[in-house]
Amino acid sequence: MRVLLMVALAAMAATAQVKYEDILAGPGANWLTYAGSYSGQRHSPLTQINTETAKNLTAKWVYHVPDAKKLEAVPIVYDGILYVTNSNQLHALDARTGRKIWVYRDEQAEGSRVNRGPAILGDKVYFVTTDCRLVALHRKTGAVLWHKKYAETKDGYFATMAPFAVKDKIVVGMGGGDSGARGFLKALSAETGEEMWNFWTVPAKGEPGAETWSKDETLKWGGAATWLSGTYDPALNLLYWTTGNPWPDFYGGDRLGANLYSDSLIALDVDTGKLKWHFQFTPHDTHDWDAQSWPVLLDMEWAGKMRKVVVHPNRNGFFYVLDRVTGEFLRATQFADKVDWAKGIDAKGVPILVPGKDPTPGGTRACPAVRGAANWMSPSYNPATGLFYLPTLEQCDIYSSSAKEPKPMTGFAGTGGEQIPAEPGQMLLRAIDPKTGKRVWQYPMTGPATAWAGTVSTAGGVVLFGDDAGHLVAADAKSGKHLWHFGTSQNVTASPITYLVDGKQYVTICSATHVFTFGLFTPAE
Amino acid sequence: MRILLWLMVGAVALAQRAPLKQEDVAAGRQLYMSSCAGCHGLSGEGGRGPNLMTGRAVSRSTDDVLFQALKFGLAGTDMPPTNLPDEKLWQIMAYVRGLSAPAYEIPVEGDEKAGAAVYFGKGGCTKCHAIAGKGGVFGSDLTSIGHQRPLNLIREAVLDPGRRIAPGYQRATLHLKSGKTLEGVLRDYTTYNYTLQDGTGELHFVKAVDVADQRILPGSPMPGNYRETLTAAERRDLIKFLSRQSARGEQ
Repeated sequence: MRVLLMVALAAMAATAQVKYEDILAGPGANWLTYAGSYSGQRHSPLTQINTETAKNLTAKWVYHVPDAKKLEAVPIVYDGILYVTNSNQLHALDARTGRKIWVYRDEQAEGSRVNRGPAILGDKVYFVTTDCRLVALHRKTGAVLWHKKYAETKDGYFATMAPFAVKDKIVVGMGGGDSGARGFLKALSAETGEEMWNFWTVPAKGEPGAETWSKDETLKWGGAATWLSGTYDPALNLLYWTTGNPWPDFYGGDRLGANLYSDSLIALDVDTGKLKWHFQFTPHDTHDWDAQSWPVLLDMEWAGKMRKVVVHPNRNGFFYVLDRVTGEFLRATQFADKVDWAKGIDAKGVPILVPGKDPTPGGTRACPAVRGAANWMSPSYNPATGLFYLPTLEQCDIYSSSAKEPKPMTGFAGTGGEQIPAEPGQMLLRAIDPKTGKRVWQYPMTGPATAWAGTVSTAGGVVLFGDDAGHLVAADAKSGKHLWHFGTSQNVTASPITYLVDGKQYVTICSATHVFTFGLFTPAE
Repeated sequence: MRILLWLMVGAVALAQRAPLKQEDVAAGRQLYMSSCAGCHGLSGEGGRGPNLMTGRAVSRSTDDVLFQALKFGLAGTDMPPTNLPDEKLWQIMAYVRGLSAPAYEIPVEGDEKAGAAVYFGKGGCTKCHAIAGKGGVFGSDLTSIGHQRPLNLIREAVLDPGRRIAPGYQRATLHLKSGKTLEGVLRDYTTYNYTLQDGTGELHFVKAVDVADQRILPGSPMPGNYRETLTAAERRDLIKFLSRQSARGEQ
């Protein structure tokens, strides 16, 4: 018996494992990390679905996720198995048929929240529960290997993010910044879940950056949440992560100063969690403009020579280019038309503020809207076209504030931003040249301006994205010309991926309640 | 009016869920066997009355609703009122709650350590079942079984495994047209496709058109003779051990 067991375990250990190097290689047949690659470009080398064939895309299977209300997950695909998450659930599906292989449910988790997807490394798939536990499951059997609690809900923390697998670590973040939880980013051991490092996104009293908060007590509940995944440069050994708004979101009177490291991009040494540099997009934010849109790593010609840059479309309406080695600000251009809180960004990267745009008790009209001109829905970059594909929202809101004494963990945000009923928003997919910051084409969408759908770019010259009326759309990456669309009849709040199984290219996107998968038409066997 | 007021006050007082004490559960069991088992079954499996282990009537009711049902019966059903004193009704409730509550949350008799020895040794459970990644793949994962099942269903699964088979664990042999033979559990199968997991954990995705012959084992492959091969104490301890399995542990 024991021999049989040992043989079985040994055999299991010998089966294919996802190595760090596999993730490093970027997408191909598999899709191994939230943004497809560590660079965050979301660009696939696959070409079967191209500008000629995209018109032959057809639904291959649909999987209903029981209990789902609003799927935001980006699936992971490895070796023909697709892993997708819902609140406190992970489903493993046969990517050829959409049939369930196994499902893991954590019935004891507190509450229900969106979940943005799993991570994979070795023989484990990982996801976070609503109450900040990293769960490791055996990728083939769904057996629970371990649970690791990394934050306490009583301290205001919750989790929605896709964990980030890098080297021997799983990096995890938190939500709760809108009710005063103090932000952090942690690296846990991929093998055991033990904490390897922790970085506080709001410094402690006496630490560098603490002087950017006018009252010491606000440091305890500064926000600056880390609820999106990140990107990584293996050559520089740096992890790039964005942080959320300072708290209270809409009233800044008790936190005068820039409020580091809120609304920032932070670059951390991946082995130690030490801060290498930071750049703050919206100092002393009072509009809830979390910096949670993607920091995408490009090697780009700049002033005549190749430069390692990170580009970032911010919720505040500007498209930033930074040197990713040093954090040096290179340029910011306005990518949304509706931007009125700042005249521009100066040569040092500081916004040139327009007076009178702060929230007031009676309400102040300001643009972009609280949801931001960009947000967490994934953009993508196609090296062949040199274009950056960015889901954009054109909208203004009325922002109101309250000077009421902030009470952490009570849902108090200092009030908020509200849509102006007579001014509906508009969503567009914009293609931006990151070399110039100029708009090359745009694809206006019809709909209620409520989509939170991202994009994926392919070497077939196609960009696939969710639109504002619940369609998955394929457009020509060069021109933005429509090639194909499919209606899910639901609001799409996730980003598509593409991969190969048995030599055939597929595209998958989650709608609110279902996982939809498409491929090129083939006659029935 | 006074009665209504009394009922409301009573309901407020009862809304607090009483902790399940071992002695209440034991006393409640005695009362249940004499007063309730006739309709709800010896293990709460149901009969003339609803299933109290898996049914939602109990698990979704607040204490006060359950208490009122016990005391006054349910109009329009066969559930009768009773003259038992409130104290005894609370004991019945403690037992009935335990029937559907996750085993981990209720007091369970036995020696957990001795149960672990049975699980990993004489019982041979690791051949097919895994806890925290250690064990075979042919049986369901037991890492959180204490949270996933009420005690009676754990007991039933140990003593009478053929009674319910977890979906995705049917043993099968597939003879393929290629001449290859696959053995394992069927994680899924339809008219068109099979997903078979072999003993090494490897998954095989097979099209039905490629299958020459299939043998799907009826019933459970789990030994059904633990009543003979384990002593009463070993069975009790094994069930205790299983009831304590939780990936989360103490919250």
